[in-house]
Amino acid sequence: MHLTKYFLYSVSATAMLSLPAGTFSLVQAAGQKAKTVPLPITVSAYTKRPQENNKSVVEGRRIYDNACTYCHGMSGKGDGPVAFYLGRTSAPRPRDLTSGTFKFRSTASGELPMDEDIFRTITRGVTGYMPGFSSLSTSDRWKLVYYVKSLFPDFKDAAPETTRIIGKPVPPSATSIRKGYRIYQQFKCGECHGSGGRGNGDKAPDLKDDWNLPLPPRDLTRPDSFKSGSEPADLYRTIMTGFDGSAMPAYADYFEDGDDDAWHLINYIRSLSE
Amino acid sequence: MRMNHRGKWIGVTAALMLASVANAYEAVIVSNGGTISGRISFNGALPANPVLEVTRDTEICGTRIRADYYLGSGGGLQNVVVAIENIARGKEYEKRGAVSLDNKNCMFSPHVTTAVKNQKLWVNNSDPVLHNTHFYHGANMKTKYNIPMPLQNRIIKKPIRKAGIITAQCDAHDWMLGYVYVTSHPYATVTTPDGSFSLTDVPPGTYKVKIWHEKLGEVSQEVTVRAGATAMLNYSFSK
Repeated sequence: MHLTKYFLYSVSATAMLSLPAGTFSLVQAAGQKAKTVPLPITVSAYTKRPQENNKSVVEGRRIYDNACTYCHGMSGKGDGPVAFYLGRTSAPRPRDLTSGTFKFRSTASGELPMDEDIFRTITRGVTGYMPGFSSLSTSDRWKLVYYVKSLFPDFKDAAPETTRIIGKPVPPSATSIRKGYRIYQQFKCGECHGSGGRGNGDKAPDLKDDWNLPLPPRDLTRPDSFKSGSEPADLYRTIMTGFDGSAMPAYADYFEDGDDDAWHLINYIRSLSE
Repeated sequence: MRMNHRGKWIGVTAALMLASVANAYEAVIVSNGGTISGRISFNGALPANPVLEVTRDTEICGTRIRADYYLGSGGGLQNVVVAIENIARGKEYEKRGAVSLDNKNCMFSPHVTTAVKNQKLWVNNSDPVLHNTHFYHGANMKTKYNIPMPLQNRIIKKPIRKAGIITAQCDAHDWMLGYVYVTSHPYATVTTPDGSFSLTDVPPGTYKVKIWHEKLGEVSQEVTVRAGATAMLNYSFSK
């Protein structure tokens, strides 16, 4: 039963990030018997979305020209006038939306993101770098999603699938955090993120993104700086699917059905900032 | 208007479906096949491989690693891919087969390998250090998979869905470099240390054969295969 409470907590915390009010699909999923359920990336309010067609893409382009070109450029290559000042010596640069490489996905490494992933990034922004555009109407944000997708042809044939939840969230008890610490060591997270999670691991100075810009690993003691969010569901997504275009790999293959290890690891990471 | 759009999309979809049918490889029984074999060599002495300074995990990787770009013996050039281009019908292959790639002594082993589309790549880590096997697909180096390899001797299996060249790198050890040359058919191979290769059971016909080396580039040669005979293909790279 605590499971449902846990998810409700997630929802209220997410609402504080000024996402449209709604319920994670995981709330319903918690009642199901299946071992794995889809990762909660959809909010029911999201489902009221305009049709994806030429008209909405053109409208998306108009919004893009107003709101996005300064950084992402007229052609979406991440080369807008402001981009010159961003990421000159270290990552991230504004994303080249024509490259087909997306960091923030609920899909497997190398796959294109779900529409909802792009919507989430537009809504929340990227902590420390890209502003959130929750001030745009839901409909306008969806049109932006469609326009962004139109910049990379492979989206036309793609049927990306969201990664699935393995195990179940566990309350952050001392036991769980201890287990999480063992997993952190076993999976050698500290090689990059440092043994205490401060982003100062042995490999940290070497890491670069796909554009060969230095991209240091995240300081895990500062969850307010996590680019893709710091809620348990956000951490789950990041650990399982990685950040394509960066050195952060996808750990999905290391967790097996019926084990809660991922959730212990998440509890450990969250405990670093307490 | 709406009808027009819909009509256009149906047209595009139909065209895409036809294109994918035309590209598909058809496996047949090849009873009268010939062989393409030969030797890929290098004119003169092989270029020297750079020595790379190792700064991480030196207790496992050593302090210096010699790159393996140019290998071979007796004038032969190793690690050259020889692949028929666009062969539509030919021998059967093990679709469930797997291609192995090991992280060993802080290098990829093998350095160059071939695979057929839809086979699986088995990635292993023989070293007791963290590697991550970061695959990039095609010339624009788009991330295909980024797999962490924190555990020794734990195999991770990944499907290969597209033809093309996969480049493997390791973010933790930036000198590591490997290639998986993926074709949609089984007529591709990698040269041995003396530069020799052999493609067997090739249906009679005239083919374009691609010869690819990671640093020396690629060339295409025309070869005619006759039933039951061996067609020779020799090529010499020069700097």
